[in-house]
Amino acid sequence: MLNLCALVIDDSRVMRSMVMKNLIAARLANFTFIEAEDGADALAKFDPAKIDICFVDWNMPNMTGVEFVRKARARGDTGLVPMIMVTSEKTMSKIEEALAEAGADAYICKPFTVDDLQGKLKKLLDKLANQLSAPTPAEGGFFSRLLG
Amino acid sequence: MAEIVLAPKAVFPEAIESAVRVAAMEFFGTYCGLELTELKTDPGDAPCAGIMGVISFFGDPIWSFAVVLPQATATTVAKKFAGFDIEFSSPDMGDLVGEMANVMAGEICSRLDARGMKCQMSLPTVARGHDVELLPPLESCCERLMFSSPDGRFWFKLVKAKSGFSGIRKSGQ
Repeated sequence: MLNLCALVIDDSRVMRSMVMKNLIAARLANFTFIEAEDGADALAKFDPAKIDICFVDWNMPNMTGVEFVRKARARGDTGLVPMIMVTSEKTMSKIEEALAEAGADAYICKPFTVDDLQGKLKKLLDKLANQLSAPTPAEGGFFSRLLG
Repeated sequence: MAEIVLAPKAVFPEAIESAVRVAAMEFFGTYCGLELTELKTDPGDAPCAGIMGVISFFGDPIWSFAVVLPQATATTVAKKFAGFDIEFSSPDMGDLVGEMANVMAGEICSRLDARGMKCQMSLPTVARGHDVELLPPLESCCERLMFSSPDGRFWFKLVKAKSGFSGIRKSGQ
């Protein structure tokens, strides 16, 4: 199973716990977690060399989740890090804004079940595993970290 | 003798009331495993300790809802939604009730959007206390939706701002 470091961004501590608990229960990877309580906090903690995947709420004080995704993508070195929106915003315009404009990779509506996570993340994590295990010299560190 | 004519009671928009009703049924039914029954008359329960999550919607019209959970209901519903025990008096209870209001508000926005009623929702505000209630300002229109479940009663208070209200307070208002 993949070893992944996930950045879980939500202003609700309870919701961060629920996201982490459900990710563990989904058994899609061995997760370690870093928590952030809004977009600004997440941006400060976001290091593409350490973080493998981000789970991002939308509505948060200081900086929204979609702003975080935009700013993280604007760095230019985050192409391999999937950004998963986990939010109660579920209108088509918001989904399009996150996926088509900001650069999020998947969209999960709250509330969600373990099955929802498995359904939305399975292909994405398979793709991530293939990308990260590509045998290039620069990614040797990544490869050994992922295999654990 | 002068005749006093009272203005007819304003009716809360049916589309909003319906969206709240469906969102409540779906949230508490699907994610808390509760079978809800809507109460058509107020059973007149004695005031009790409770917690309230409030979200405002900015569009046309501007309106707010409060989901109000008495203490006993809040504790059992919180466990069902979060999957772990949360003490009524803990900060996590406020966090969770805010999140529950947020999730239902997202569903309500989506349902209103599908009917052409665009709106933006606020971040949640939570209040805990005895006999907590959302008090409508004058000339606003309000409605109460009350539900009974195996885990106790809870209700929604819906408040719509009067026509022409922009949501921004100006000097003198």
